[in-house]
Amino acid sequence: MQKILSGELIIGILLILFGSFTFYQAGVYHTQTDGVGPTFFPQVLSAVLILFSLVSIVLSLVKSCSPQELAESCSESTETTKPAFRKIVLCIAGLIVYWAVMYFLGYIGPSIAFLVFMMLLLGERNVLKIACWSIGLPLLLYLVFERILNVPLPVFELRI
Amino acid sequence: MEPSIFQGFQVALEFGNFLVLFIGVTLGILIGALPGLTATMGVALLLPFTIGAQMSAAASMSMLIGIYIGAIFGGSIPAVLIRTPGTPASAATLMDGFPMCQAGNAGEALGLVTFGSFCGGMISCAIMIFLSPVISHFAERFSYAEYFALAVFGLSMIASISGGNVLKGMISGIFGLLLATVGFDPVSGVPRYTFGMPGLLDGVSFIPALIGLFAFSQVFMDISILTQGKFEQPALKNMIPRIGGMLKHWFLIVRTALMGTFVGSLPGAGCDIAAFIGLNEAKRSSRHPEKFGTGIPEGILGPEACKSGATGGAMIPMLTLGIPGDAVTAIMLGALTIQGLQPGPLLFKDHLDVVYPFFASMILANIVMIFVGFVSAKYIAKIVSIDKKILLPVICVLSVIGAYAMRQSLFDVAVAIVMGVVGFAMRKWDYPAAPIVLALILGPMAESNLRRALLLPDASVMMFFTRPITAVLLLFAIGTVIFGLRSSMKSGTAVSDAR
Repeated sequence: MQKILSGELIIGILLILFGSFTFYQAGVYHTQTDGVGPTFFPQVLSAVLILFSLVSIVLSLVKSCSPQELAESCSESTETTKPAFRKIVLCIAGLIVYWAVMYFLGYIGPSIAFLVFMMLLLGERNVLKIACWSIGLPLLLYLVFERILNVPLPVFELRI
Repeated sequence: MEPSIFQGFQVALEFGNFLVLFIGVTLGILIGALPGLTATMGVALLLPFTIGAQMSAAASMSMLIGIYIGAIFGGSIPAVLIRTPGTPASAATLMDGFPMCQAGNAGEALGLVTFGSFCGGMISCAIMIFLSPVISHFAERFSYAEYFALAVFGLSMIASISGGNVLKGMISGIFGLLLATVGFDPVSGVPRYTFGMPGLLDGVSFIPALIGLFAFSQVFMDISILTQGKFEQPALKNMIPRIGGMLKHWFLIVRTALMGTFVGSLPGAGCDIAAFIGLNEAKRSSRHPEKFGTGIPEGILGPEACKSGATGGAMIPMLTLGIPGDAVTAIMLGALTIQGLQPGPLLFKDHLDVVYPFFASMILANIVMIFVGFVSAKYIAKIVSIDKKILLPVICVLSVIGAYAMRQSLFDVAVAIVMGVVGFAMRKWDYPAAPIVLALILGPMAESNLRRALLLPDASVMMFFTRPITAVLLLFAIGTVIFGLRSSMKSGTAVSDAR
């Protein structure tokens, strides 16, 4: 329960910080224009975001005083266990590496490697299945995008 | 002899024309179903092919219409099956389509998508054929102030698509509106929040944001469920859609299709906005608004009929005024011009021999779409029975390629990954993602039209309340917010009662 309360608070505070930053940054875009300038919309939105975040924090604090309401919000949220969280982090890390490597090696090689990594991460151990999907899918997508639809995909090129 | 709609059908049903229409619809469904490839992109990709193959005007338009209709429908297939909207317009269908699919009714969900799309498309075709001049005359009265009011009306739907928590929905919406301000300012051209990154100059790309918010966040959620051993493979039942059950909602379908046709006929508005208007209308008119988001038929039929209604609507200003309603019709306008035709009032006077086959092709494309949709639903639905250990990595690769394909930019892939993390955090803390989508669509429209309206001579804030169309739209917006708050409170009470 405390976790949920602190999570709501942290998100509320983060949103206020984000809103304050966007409000301040919007001031930089001031120009001599007639009517409403480029700062108006972002600043109004930032101010409303800060206001709503404050209301959200107050509501979560009020909730914490009512054990019944807190229990309700507790049962609504889905807990993520440590092993699950670790796998999600590894998946995100895998995506980042996949993205970065694609810049140098193009689409096919990194896609095959990423698919193998993800299937192993999720517990797939059937080598034939892994091989078929990880090779077949990138090739099929390459065929559809590059050859049929003429949409270029990242290609391997020597970058120095 | 004066050309008629029957002669239009004769031309559209000629073997060659019908064949390219069939190929167009099928290819369009494939394009729409691939994340990142939109209807606009599909039509743009195939236009050079129609020129290269030296197709006649009728054949060329048949193919492009087929792709357009197919892609708009196809976008909902991955939205329903794997929570990855193939096109932006499908984001609204996902909200009830995916839960229905998770309950094992993938075939029924796809059937509802097909039927809703077909009805919306056919109704809008009828309106397009008989009422084009009247609607385009009304659409001409829309100026900056009216478009701003329309955007506000659209944004007011955040209150009703936020599920049980309107405050969190509003916060998501404002976050989305702030994201929409990134990039060149639409009026002065000043770059905002770009921090020297060229990839942000055109703003946060919509498709990658959509892919991140829905597809990646769902992958992370599924990994969490899978690791904890709580995942149950949905049992496939109701594989064949039941028409009888769908016809029960005929009044909703007709209403949302008419709304979609009107929205589509407004230049600048389109299928994306129409889909959310359809969802809002379905919820507003439902006896059980609290059940939306749990997988009910109205939550699929409303947005689908409205979205497809916009396809016919978008053709109205293009054909009658020569003004494209959206990006797809802009390309079609180009295609007509290449064929030596000038869309506008003279097209109806001088080239009825082209106009009627055009109308007939729209109707036939919808018929082909329902045929392909129903026949394939049973097989496509089996995607959900693929082992998650395989399906999740496949979704990741599809999403990465989808995010890249739109602008061939690896920066967009990074945007999708970041938005995926944001989307996952939002889901963990019950912040709905749909308001961000709505805000990204409508934010630029609201800001640019407000500012342009206020730049006009003698402009004042009061004009938004004194002009009849803006006043009505703003009143609708207030009504929608009140309804959203009421249904949110009602669903909160229902949840408490259930507990």
